[in-house]
Formats: sequence, C-alpha cells, structure tokens
Amino acid sequence: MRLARVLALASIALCLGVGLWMYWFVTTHGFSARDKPSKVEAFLARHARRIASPPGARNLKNPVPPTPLAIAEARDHFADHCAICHANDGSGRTQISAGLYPPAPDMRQSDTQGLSDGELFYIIKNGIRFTGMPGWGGEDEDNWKLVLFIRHLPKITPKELDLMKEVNGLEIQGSESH
Amino acid sequence: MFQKLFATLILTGFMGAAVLMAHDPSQHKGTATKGEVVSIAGDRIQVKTDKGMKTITLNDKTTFERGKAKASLSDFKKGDRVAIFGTTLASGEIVAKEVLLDAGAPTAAPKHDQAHKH
Repeated sequence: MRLARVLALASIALCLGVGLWMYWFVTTHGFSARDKPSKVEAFLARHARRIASPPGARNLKNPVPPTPLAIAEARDHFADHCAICHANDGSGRTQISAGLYPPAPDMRQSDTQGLSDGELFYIIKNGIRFTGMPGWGGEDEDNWKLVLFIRHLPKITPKELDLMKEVNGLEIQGSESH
Repeated sequence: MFQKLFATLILTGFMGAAVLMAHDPSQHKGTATKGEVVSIAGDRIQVKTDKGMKTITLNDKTTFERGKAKASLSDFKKGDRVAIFGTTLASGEIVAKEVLLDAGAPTAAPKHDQAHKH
C-alpha cells in the first residue's frame, strides 16, 4: 500500500517535472524551425526511426539492377523532385533545408548510406513523420531507382551535377567537398 | 449576370483542363535535342544539331510522335527535323524517351514537370 502511494507520488512528480521542463523549453526556445537539433535529440530520433521501420521493409532487396540508364533516370527524377531540399549533390545544403527542423541530412554520409536499401525505399515511399520528408508514394520501380541514385551520390561527377542543373537550375551551395 | 460569369468560369476551366490533357511539350523535363536526322542504323539515330552531331540511342520504351499522332521508327527518314527528349547518361550517351517528328516540336521545355508523376 505504501509502495503504491510512493509510486503514485513519483509519477505525479515526474509528470510535473516534464511539464515544467516543456514549459521552460517552449517559453525560452519557442517553435522556431531554424534551431538545430541537439546531438542527443538527433541520436534518439534516428534510433526511434530505426525501431519504427518494419523489419520486412529493412530486409527488402533492390530489384532494379544498377544500370547507367536506371541511375541517370533516377538522377533526373531526383533533380526534379528531391534536390530542392536535398541539393543536387545530396549534401542537404539548400535554403529550404536550412529552415527545416531537422534539416535534410547529408545523404553522402554514413547516417544515410548506412541504411539498408529497404530502409531507404521505405523512407522515400512513406516519408518520416515530424520531419520535412514527405511520403511520396509513387511507383515502386521509380523509388528503387532513387535508392540506386542515393547509393551513387558519394561518387557523383561534376558532369552529372551539370546535367542536374540543366533540369532544375539549382547551384551547389558552399564549397565543402565530398 | 453572376450566372453568366459563373458559366464562363466553368467553361474556361474545362477548356484549360482539355489543353493540359492534350500532348503538352511542357510535360517534358530538360531541354530537347533538336536537329536534322542524318542517319538511322539499328537502335541509333544520328542527328545534326547546332552543337554538332549527336548519336541518340533508342530502346523498347522510346515512343515516337508526328504532330499529335503516334508514329514509329519506320516513319523516320533522313532529313527529318526532330526534337528528342531523353536521359543523358554519365557517359554523355543520350537514351531517347520520346522522339517528336517535324518542326512542330517545342522550342524549349520548362524546368519542372507540371504533372507530378512521382
């Protein structure tokens, strides 16, 4: 009986503490999307996403072979639909991304490249809740081709970037090399 | 008065939709490769453009049109003016998605696909 009372009081104290912390956070930080997520928040969000990905999706294999044409078609598709947030080179250095919470990731880095093909496919198709990434739906074949292109991003050539610029007119921002 | 205005708006909407549903060059991505057919051999067409000779590869997904009518590879001949929309590979090779015959071809394509096909 006494234990139950202690647990109840502890729960109330915890809720009160969390509520006070949220009040303090909101009143001091506001709702600005221009802030950057802390490392702890990014770590927790990434792991929550991984846990929430259906295991079946994670193990899916890309049925589309990585032919030059498939990668080029996905490159044009990426330039047309994705690069406005992710940038032509996948760096995420765009005006829109700078105002997103969380910002678009650098897709050439391990946080994205370390995902399985199935996870990438699932994210393209279904999006990620509470982020700027929408669920595009679309044709599975097109989405699998986009997975091929995401894998290709770390070794994209200046000529390919020029071809993307022909499609969307976007310049590469910043000078950080990949 | 308002009924006439309303009817006019509805009619304008239908006409606009009809125009959009017809074959619209603005649905294409990127810029067309335009020029004169120099030769046709197998799955390749050589086109003389303002920037020099271009070799275009055709595949089983390539479609052909003359004006608004469907056409086929056999409708091509040397000297035809064509506009070709396709995918440029990293190697520079162009794989045609659509070959439009005759000078009715568009002069330029906008940068964005109006109908979101994703």
